[in-house]
Amino acid sequence: MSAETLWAGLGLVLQFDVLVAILGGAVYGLFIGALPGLTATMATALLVPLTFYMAPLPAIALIVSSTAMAITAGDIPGALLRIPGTPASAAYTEESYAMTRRGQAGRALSIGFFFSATGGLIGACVLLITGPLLAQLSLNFSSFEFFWLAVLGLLTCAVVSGDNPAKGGVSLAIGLLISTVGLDVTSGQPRFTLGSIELSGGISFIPVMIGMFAFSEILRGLSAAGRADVAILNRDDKPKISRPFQGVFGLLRRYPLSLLRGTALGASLGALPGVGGDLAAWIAYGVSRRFSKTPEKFGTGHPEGLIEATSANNSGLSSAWIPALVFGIPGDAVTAIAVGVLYMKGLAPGPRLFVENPVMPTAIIMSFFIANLLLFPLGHLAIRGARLVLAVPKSVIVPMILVCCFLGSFAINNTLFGVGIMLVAGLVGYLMERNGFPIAPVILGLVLGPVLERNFIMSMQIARGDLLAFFERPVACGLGLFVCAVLLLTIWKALRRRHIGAEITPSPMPPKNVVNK
Amino acid sequence: MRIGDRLIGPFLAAFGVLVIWGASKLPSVPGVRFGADLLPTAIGVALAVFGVIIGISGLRQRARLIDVSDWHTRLRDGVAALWSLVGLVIGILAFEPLGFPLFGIGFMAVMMALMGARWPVIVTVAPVFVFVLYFVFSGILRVSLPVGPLGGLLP
Repeated sequence: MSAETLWAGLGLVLQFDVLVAILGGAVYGLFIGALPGLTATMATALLVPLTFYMAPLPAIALIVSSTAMAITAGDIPGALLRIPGTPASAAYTEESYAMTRRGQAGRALSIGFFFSATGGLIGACVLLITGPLLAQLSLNFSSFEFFWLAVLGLLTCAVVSGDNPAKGGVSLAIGLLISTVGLDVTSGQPRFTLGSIELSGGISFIPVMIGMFAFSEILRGLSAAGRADVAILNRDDKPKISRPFQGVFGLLRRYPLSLLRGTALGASLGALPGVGGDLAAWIAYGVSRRFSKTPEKFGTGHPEGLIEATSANNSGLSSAWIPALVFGIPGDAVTAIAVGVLYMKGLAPGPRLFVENPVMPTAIIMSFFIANLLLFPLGHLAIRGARLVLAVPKSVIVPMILVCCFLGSFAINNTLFGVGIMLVAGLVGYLMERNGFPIAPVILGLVLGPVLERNFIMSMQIARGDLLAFFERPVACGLGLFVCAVLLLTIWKALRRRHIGAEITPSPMPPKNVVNK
Repeated sequence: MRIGDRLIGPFLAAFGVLVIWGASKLPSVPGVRFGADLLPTAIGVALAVFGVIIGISGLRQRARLIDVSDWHTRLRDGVAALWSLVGLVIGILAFEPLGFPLFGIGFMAVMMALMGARWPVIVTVAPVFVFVLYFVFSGILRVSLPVGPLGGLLP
């Protein structure tokens, strides 16, 4: 990447409207992330209708900053109330809450914000360096390689996003099925439109997403499962917080390896399609404990694991944009939304974007730097005002979100059809989530379905129907073999687990999954 | 609401078969080997296979087939959940005559009351929030929102 491109990207991102979008997104993300039960994906989903009316860069910058802040702010209820604000914070909630119990709530939050921001900045560097290189490499990719990349993204998401790969597969199939509604991508024939004019245009991913992530979460919050959260929130023994960022530089000097290992893990795992920051945080916490000189201190409010996991968290969030921007293959629900927004703006993500318009992806990456830098001052304010954010009653927030769901679904095409889709998606999402079916693969399937189908059909037209052509080009062959290996490994693990499960005990009702960021 | 896998599995398998049947009814284009039916057929097969797998694994479950203990919640929360559905359906049916401001304020006020908000909060927050949304979407973002009976009062 040339210095001119970097300067031009910086110039774009420093424009007034982009900076306002970043700041607005950060404040909004901070608020949503700090409220237990409201996830970063939900925050992003609710923003999409707004981005519809914005220029491409402010729209993406808004998503970037709100996600980075929401993920980090998820540490606030985790540390203060033992309720992770987002699943990404779940890996180290016990540790940070143990710190709070020892009267170190401010320290727990400071570690969360400081090392998240540092991890996020390093992750953005990785994105800035590897993005253009990978894009250059993938310029030679044809429909065969893109087909395998789409399969890989869908497969890994379905596999890693829940306890049960079969249920992940069902979620994926549902997303793909929704994507087939409308006119066929190649022949233009109507599919599953049931004679409806609205369905002929296909089902927009935005109302589906708003319904599945926002409306379904509200239904869950009103059920007995959500009541438990409210009961904890109403307690009187909320901790006192003082002196943000006190002692973090001392921790940085004491545990530099934890920071480096956490960010390296986050950056490499986050770049894999379907993995993202959630899993990176869990693995980083486990690795930290494994290699710690004092593993017995873990779980008692020890900062080491917290530093590693929270750095991995935000670093993974940045690098999750590598497959999304470089290949156009989103790795998780948030980047799936962002890819959808990019398409909506006429900016098809992929290697060509880096070649034909390198300033735009550079500016998007630059917005990561600004969003993560904002974590320091906003984190300072958030730590001081954490109790105020948590004090906003659900009886005010939930009705506001419902009105936003209605308006957001309506505003996409100015039709009430979108609102109907949102309602149905919300009910289906609620049922899926309560029965152990992950929701993120539905969105990925919906976004990637047309990519998958178009590249398959195109490849078959080139190869005149010879399926072996998918293994003839070296990179396509490598990707294809990797996909087959992942598939076989998943089947083997599922069979092995089933075999062990049958020997030990009958399986209970499915556990609640935590795939929704 | 939780549904046992031994019920979900057969449902998904049947749904998969329905999708395959639906795909088989799609008209084919002469000379095209892979047409509009390809992806839906693959999805139908996947749904049917996963449905069978889930159904078989569910045979070992001892829990109830349908468990609604989630909704053994406070009556007020149950009614609020019901209102979130019914209220939005009313919104779909009567959006044009009611207009966004009136529908938004009414829907939000009922929801807030059901969730236990105090009246001073309701009469302040609901109108302010809805009008702010209205002006942002209608004024700044140029979304054409129906105004309803309040049309004469708004700029």
